[in-house]
Amino acid sequence: MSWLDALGLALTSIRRRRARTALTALGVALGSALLVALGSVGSAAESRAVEHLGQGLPVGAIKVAPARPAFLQLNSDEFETRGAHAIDAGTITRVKALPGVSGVLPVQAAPVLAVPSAGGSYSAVMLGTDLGAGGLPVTVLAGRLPTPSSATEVAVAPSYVTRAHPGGSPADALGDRLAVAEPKVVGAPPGAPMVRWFQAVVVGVISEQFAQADLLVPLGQTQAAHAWQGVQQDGSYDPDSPYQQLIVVTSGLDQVHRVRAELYDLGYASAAPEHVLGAVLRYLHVVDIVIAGIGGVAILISALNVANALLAAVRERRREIGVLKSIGAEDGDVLRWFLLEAGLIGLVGGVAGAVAGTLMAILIGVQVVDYLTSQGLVLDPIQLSDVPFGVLFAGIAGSVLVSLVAGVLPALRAARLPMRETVGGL
Amino acid sequence: MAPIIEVRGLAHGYQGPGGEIPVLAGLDLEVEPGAFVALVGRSGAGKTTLLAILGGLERPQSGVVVVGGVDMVTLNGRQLAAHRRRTVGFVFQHFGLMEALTARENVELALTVAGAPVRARRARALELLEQVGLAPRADHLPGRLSGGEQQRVGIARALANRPPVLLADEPTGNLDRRSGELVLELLEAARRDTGCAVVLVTHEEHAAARADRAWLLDNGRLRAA
Repeated sequence: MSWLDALGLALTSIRRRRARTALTALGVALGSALLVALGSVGSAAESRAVEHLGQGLPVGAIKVAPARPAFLQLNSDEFETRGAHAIDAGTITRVKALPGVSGVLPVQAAPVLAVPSAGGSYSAVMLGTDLGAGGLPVTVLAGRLPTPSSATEVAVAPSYVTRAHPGGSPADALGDRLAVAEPKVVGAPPGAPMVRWFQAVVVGVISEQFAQADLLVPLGQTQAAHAWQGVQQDGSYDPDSPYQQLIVVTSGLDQVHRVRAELYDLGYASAAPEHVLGAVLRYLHVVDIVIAGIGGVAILISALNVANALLAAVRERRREIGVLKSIGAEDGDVLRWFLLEAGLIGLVGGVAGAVAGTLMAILIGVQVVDYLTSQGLVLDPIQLSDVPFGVLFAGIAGSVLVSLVAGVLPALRAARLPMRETVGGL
Repeated sequence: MAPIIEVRGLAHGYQGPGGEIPVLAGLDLEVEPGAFVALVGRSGAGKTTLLAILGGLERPQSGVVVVGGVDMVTLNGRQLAAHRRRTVGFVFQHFGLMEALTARENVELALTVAGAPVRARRARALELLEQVGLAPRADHLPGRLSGGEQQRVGIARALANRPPVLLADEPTGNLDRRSGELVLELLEAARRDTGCAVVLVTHEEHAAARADRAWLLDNGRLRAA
């Protein structure tokens, strides 16, 4: 008997005992759902933690300051400086050549006052970077990024949309006119600020606050602001550095410490949430282990359920097994019949569980986000895209595999039944 | 002509609580191709055991059992399964139909196990059901057929792979007289049309009377009845 014929026989057996099959598959589905839901929540928690601690920068990003590193720099996530050290084009070339570095973005920030045409004003950080560089780690929600040579185009963060178009969508902000004031403090002690204005037009909305920027502009725009403002920074930074900061994107979290060590050797202070992130990820790993344990127990219970149901089926079908053998079926044919039945139950339960688990994860996410929002922490809710394919695959494939393993004993028992006894009347 | 079934000195027994219980003791039997043989005897005499050994459901403990030219003693598990597919067809007292399969699918099952192509299975199953007068009920489940009809499906299934030997164990035991007669007529027709030998185990005299020869199984051996 071919596998296909055995599959047909297994499907027929399942159809015949729909209620029992449904209950058995439900048990598998519960285990799978628990595994998928917990796995998805765990994965989403990890990605949210990385995003939150990354402060708007891509995963594995390092900020580099125009300053020399202090002795304990590598033990700290923050800048630990001991004197100025300018970042110039040569620095960028050297950093790009470091192993584990996938991108380098020179940035310059300037404190500004943004005045939307709709009214009101707010203090903002205007960030300039090389917008012509490929692989910029920014997601555009609406519109586009400013052209690299433009002196009037800006992209805004969602916070602008919230202020200027309450309840509106990112696209509503496109074309808005925005007055940007660059203040300059003069005199000692500081006197009244002088202000230079420029009119900007919003050409795009970016998904997150890239490096905590409210406005994203071409690098030349912030370099001009920097020159005008003559920013007096902490004495340990080089105020004349052509670039105020570098954002170094590494090829992964595991490369962050190594690249920071290389930057230390190059003589630059750096900041990255590697220690706090490491601690959080270790904590989440423990949570993952607990989740896997709970999911494992759930799957084990469903496996016992499958084994029990199939053992009952073997008892019920003794005569059918005997008749099948009397017409020439081999032990292997009977084994295939029962194993495929177990696998089908696992597949049905696994798919149902994956769907239910995804819904559970989204519902749990809504509750968690509601709670965290009430505690003042803003996080994105869990969405369908947060459910990792690996977890879904593990939920379905695991259910099938566990059901197959659970079906081995009943299938072997069925295959080895003495023929004479099973056919009964013969 | 060489016999299709040849048994010499067959001894077989079962392990009971008090030791070995002999059932067959030096039994001899020869059945010619196309013969219709009836086995009668009291309950527990060993008729069904003999049928199970001839059909490859059970291995003989000693003696020579040659069916279709093959010595059953020498066959391993897979070869015994092949023997059941090609050489023998079983007709059970309890019909032995799969409840979830239709009459046609039950007949097809024997062809499926034998590895026949899908189209050939369907055509052959319908042909057999036509022969036993059940073509209009081909798509009925066993639960919707009478006992006699179920047994006719059982006979169609037994004949599916054109076996040279048909082994029928009390095929009329669960049927009324009229249905039983119809089943016996079908067995005779199968013998006549396909040339297969029929070995019929029965308690009923009128059934045994239809055979070319009837044997009484007594004390583990056969005697002319």
